[in-house]
Formats: sequence, structure tokens, C-alpha cells
Amino acid sequence: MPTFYAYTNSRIRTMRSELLSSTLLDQLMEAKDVMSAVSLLQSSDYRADIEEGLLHHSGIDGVEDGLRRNLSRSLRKVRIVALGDAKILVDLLLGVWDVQNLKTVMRGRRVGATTKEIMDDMIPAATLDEDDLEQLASQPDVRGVVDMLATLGNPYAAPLTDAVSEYHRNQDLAPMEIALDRFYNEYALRRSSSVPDSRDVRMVRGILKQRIDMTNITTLLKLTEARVDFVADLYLEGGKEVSIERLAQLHELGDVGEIISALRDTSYGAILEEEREAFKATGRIHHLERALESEVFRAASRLFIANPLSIAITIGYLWSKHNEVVNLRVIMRGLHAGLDKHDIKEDLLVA
Amino acid sequence: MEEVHPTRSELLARKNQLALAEQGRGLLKEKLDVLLKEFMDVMDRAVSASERLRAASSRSGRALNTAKAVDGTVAVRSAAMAAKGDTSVEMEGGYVMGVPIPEIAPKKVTRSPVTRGYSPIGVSGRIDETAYLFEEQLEAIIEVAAVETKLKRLGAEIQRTRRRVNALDYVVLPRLDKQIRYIRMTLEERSREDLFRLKKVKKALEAKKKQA
Repeated sequence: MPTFYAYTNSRIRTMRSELLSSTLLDQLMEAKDVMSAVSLLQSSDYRADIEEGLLHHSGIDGVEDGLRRNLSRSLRKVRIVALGDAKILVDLLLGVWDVQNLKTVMRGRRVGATTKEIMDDMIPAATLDEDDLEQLASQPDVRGVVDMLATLGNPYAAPLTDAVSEYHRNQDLAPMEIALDRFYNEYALRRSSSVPDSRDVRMVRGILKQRIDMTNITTLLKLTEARVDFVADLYLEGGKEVSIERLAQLHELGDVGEIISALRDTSYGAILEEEREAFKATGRIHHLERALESEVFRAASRLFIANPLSIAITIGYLWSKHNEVVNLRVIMRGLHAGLDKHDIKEDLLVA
Repeated sequence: MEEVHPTRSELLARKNQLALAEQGRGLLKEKLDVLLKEFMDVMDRAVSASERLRAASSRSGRALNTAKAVDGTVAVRSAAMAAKGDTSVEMEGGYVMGVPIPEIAPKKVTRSPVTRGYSPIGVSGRIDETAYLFEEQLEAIIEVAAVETKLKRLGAEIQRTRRRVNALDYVVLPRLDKQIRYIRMTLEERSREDLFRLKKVKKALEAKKKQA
């Protein structure tokens, strides 16, 4: 196993060296406008992708398209350099992009979007590559997408096949999407158990479980704020610190502030506590959600100093790259909206 | 002036027409007052509704910008496709001073994260918030449409009524007045001629009597 990581991590380290420095991010935030910021990226890994994006769309949309292409390309590259069990674990972590892409294809088919429109919203970064997604997007309807997925032998076909009859009854995609979300998390945990136990497997399982907790907490906060009754199906099994029973108890409190207080005994309590005042002032769940997301990215950046012969470096890169793309998007959108550096910085996940 | 027969019956008929026109003008002026009062009330509502729309639009725009920046346009567009749906409004007919005014019932468009057509698990709170704020904006648009439709109808009716009042004030009533005056003058003139003729006849009869 360490042999795989020696090769994979040396490649990842090279890729890491292409991540933008905080000095450049500062310069980007101070740029006059979007195009001035783009010119600052000329010597970076983003140049070719942004140029490509600007060929297809103009202005900020072209820049964002370039960032999408770059993220997709970088994550695919990680899949290529990951070998052996590391590849399986990377695929499990990147599975969220498969889920997101599948949802977009089904949504697009439901409203009759064109294949090109659907493909513009894809981030092919995991097991479903661009060709697979194009084949799925060109199906005539949602049923066709599910059937094509089964033909491709993709594991996500099973939960969708079970849920598609409900979609046909009421044309509501939510049950299919919930089935997909629940399946992905159960599948990722189950599949990771089939890999011989090691510190890497435990690390990936830890991340998957933490992500389940964070997704569940965000869902709980959103639904509590929207005064929606507790439905266990809307929560994912297998969290690290917060079980579904605990979530049900928290929901009974009926108030976001009280839920934050009640989560004090978990590692998420302190993170949420820091944003309590911001939430109170604006009533926006966004502050709490962003705090949780920031913590994931911050933890990932610490992984770079972990064992060099482990999957930590790869995970650190995956999360750091995603964070960088989000930050660039925030900066570009901020410049486009005419925000100053201070306002842009407030929205950055990890500055 | 249209042809008028200067007869007593014609005078009577014109006088009746004048009384009727004056009564009509009174009624139309009353109608105009009520319509104007209603118009001003609706105008106040239209102003506050458009202020609400402006505020809702600014809130939703800001939320959309945040969602596009942090989650990406790709995620926002994807969720928007799932949440796409139709909204119908209910219209009822009401009357103000006999004027048919359509009433658009206020419509609750806002949905909860579990009824928006996508799984709340995989959609960020930012996108949910954006969707909610745009639904709120749609409610504000429906409210503005309702009051503006009412305002338009009332405005059109006020114009029509004002035109009628003006027509009575400046055309019909002066014309009838003129006709009445003309008939009256003609009748008086005729009566003076008769009197003069009678006096002449009387004088002629008296001169004949004296000669005899």
C-alpha cells in the first residue's frame, strides 16, 4: 500500500504546488473587475480552462464555466493518479459529484432541457465520465435515464429503479433524489468496509461519517427554521456523532438557537456557536452552514502535514482544490457585483 | 344648432331633457367621487405593494448572488430545474359603483424545503433560501398585478366618467340651455307680435268705429 501512496502523493504534491497562494487570492480580491482578476490568473492552472469557458459563455458566466471545467479536470486527474485501494476510496469520496450530476440529469429530463443545457451543468469528476453523462442526458425521459444507468452497470441504478414508479405517480423527483442521497451514503460506508482495514480506510470512513453529520445538521437547521415536521427519511444513517434518534430529539426543541446549544457536547457545537450571533442578526442559515463547510476545508488543509504515505494528502488536495474553486467563484461574483474586499472576504469559505 | 321647433311642447321637452341631464351629471359626479376615493385607496395599496416587491427583489437578488458564488451556478440551475412548476391565480369579479373590477386572490406561493421538488438533503441552505425568497417575490408580483389591474380598470372608468361629465357640462347642458333660451325668446317674440297685431287690429277697429 505505501508504494501506491509514494507515487500518488508525489503526483498530488505537484498538483498541490499549483494551488493558488493566499497572496494571489488577496490580489484577486483587490482587482478592479472580473477581467482584471482573470488576467492575474494567466500564469495559473486556470488559464486554459477559463479561456475555454469564455469561448462558450461571455463575462462572469464564462469565467465560472472555466472554474467548473478546471475543478472537474483536477478531480479527474486525482482519480487517474490514485492507484489500488486508494482509487476505491477516492471514488467513494468523489461519489457526491456522481449524485449531483445524476440529479441534474433527471431534473433536466423532467423539465425537457436540451442535452447541451444539461451538460453545461455537469461536473464529471467521479465514476460517471463525460461520455456516460452525455448518454444519460440524451435519454428522452427520467425512466430512460434510470434504464441507461442500469445498462451502464452503475450501482445508483438500483435505488432509482425502486423509486421511479413513485415519480411516475406524481412527477415529483424528491423521492428519487432522497433515495439516491441515502443510497450513496450507505453504499460509500458499506463499500469502504470491503477494503482491507487500514488507517486510510478509517480516515475515509471518518470523513464520510462527518459529512453525514454535517449534512444532517444542516438539514435539521433548515427544516426547523422552515417549521417542517420531523421525517426520519430526510436524514442519513451512519453519522459520526449525531444519530437519527438524537436528531429527532433536537428537532423537538423547535428552535435553531436551542439546537445549537444542545449540540455543545459534539464537535459541531463550538463551530455553530461562533456563528450564533450572525444567524441571530440575519436569520440566515447560510452563516451556520458556511461555518460547518469552512471547518471541513480547514481540517482538510491540515491533512497535508499528516503521514506522507497515506491517503491524507489526496483528501487534503481534493478538499483544498474544491475550496479554492469556491473561493475563486466568490471573488469573481463579488467583483462582478461590485463588492469590496471586506465583503468578499466575509463570504470566502476559508480565507 | 340642430333644428329646433320653437313650440311650447318643444320647450317642455327640452326643459325635461335639461333636468334629466342635470340629474345625470349629478349622479356621474357622485360616481366620479366614489371612483376617485377607491382609486386613491388602491393607489396607496399599489405603492406599498410595489415597495414590498422592490424589497423582495433586492433580498432575492442578494441571496441568488451568494448561492451562485458559494454553491455555483451549476448547483443553482440544477435545483431550479427541480423546483420548476406552474402557479395559477384565482380571479373573481367584483363591482365598484357598477364597474366590474377583477379581484385577484392573494396566492401563497412559498413552499417548504420538502415540497420544492428536490431532496432537501443535497441542496444547500443558501439555495433553499434563494428559492424561498424568489417565491416570496412571486407572491409580491401577484399582489402588484392584482392592485395594478384594479388601478387600471378604475383609471379607465374614471376617465370615461370624467369624459361623460365634461360632455354634459360643456356640450349637452349648454346646448339644451341655448335651445331653451332660443325657444323661449322665439315664443316671447311671437307673443309680442301677437300683442302688437292685436293692438293694431284694436286700433283699426276703433278708427273704423269713429268714422262710422
